Amino acid sequence: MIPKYYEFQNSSKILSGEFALENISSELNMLNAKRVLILSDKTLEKIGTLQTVIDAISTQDLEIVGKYTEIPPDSSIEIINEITSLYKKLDCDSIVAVGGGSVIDTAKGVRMTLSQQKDNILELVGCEMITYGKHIPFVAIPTTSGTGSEATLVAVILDKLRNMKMEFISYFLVPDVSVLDSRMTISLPAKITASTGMDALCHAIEGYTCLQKNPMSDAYAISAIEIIRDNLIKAVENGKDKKVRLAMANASLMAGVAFSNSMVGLIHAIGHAIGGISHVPHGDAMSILMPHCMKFNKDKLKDEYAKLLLYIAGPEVYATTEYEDRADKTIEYVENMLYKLNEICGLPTKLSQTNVKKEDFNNIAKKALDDGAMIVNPKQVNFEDVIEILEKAF
Amino acid sequence: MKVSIKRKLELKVKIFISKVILFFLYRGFKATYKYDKRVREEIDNWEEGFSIKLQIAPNKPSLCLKKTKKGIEKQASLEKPDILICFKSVDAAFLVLTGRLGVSGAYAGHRFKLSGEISQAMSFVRCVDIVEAYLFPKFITKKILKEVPKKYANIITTYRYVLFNF
Repeated sequence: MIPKYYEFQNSSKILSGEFALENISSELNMLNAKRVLILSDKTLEKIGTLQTVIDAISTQDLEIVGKYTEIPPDSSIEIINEITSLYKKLDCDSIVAVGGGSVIDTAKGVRMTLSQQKDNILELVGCEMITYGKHIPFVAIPTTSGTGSEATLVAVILDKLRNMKMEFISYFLVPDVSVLDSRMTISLPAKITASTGMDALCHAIEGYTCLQKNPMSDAYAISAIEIIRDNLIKAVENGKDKKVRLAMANASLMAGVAFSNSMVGLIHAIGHAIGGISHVPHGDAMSILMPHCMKFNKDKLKDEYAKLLLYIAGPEVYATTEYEDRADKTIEYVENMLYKLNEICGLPTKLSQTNVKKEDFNNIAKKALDDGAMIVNPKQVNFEDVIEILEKAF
Repeated sequence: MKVSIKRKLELKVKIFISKVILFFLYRGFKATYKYDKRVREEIDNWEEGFSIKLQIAPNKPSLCLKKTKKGIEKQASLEKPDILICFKSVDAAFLVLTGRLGVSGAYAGHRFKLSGEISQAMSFVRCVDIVEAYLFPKFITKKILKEVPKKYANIITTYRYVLFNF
């Protein structure tokens, strides 16, 4: 069904596949960039992933004038201010981010601060408030296949002072170029591959079902689900398979485009709260919560979940399942995928297997209700509902 | 090129009606703060001085609210509100204020811009949903809200407060 009104944007140019990294310098050249600042983290520097990028993009026309690799898993306003100062000090004119969601979100924050010519990024907190500003060429190279941050209009940054994650939403956050190259994810451990892959699946499922869904985001979501169905387990079982890695990188980006335009709902609202309070890795929280939240939303989303069976289980299963049973079967497939990944690599299936404590349930529920993702969940959610979901997932 | 007279007139009418509805929305906030525990609890959790501006469109009329010791008070203007919700067009605001689109639907449809912390805005959104449940008839709220909140306060008392401020 076509919504009465919708908006959709996917402005990032995508380079995917063999020698994709080697084309970055040409892209930056076309964007008039000559002096690059590279952002990454310590682990990627240590395992050589960052060097692979540096080797690939170094050309006569492009100078890598600096790198910053101190970005922690939860990037903060202080880090962004520090990098912004470094960028100015080194007289850079472009940014290349190599990393997972935290590194790419940090780069978005730095770019936004520079582009808007502000001293404090907190002045820009909100949704669609910023204008185009000064253009800072920005290339994102994801090293996990899950967050989809390379394609989204959202950046989540920690305000350490208030221990709050701040959300910045603007179409001008989307990178100019997103680069998918299997060399970036080939060394990702099995458990992280599983966890981030389930995060991508969650983005696609919520992207397909939340209030902002539209025909464009649907197309990205269902394609992402099909690719995840065919490749996630394989990627966890054999991480060295380049084809499978590239497929998962594509699925993650497509799921990112889907949810960037239709947003995520209940699963992410609770997941963000669990991440903030109990410090559970985001993908683990998504994996555990997904089937429980889908069951909660099922009465509102029966049609959508029924349709998803075609993409998550394939045409044979879809055709042989009665309409009445399709939504349940979709949830069953998600659950089975979770159990299979638990078998292969120990991905947790219950909150009790993580840092979540029962005594934190009230705080988690309160925080979840205040999460921006809750507004686009198609079903109304109250405090007791979240507690019940947490109990079931524990 | 000049804007047509028809459009000018249409905008004037929509702005006028929106201003009237914003006034009753404020009264709805006052009434539900007084009579509905859920709204009172939400607003009591806001820090004193916390302010919200709901604007029909850029450079167009707005409703400015501030948390005070008395609960919630209307302000003539707010220079730097904690939360600014500004509709992208008068027409978008009109859809919401006349009960044809809920706040969540408006957010989903990118009908407004938001400045400030989204988590703080969520509390305001929950309050608006409850106020709308009192102000609009059920056949409207059923269409625009995900779930129509129960009315714990007496509807006549609430309407009396909204209309006559007592």
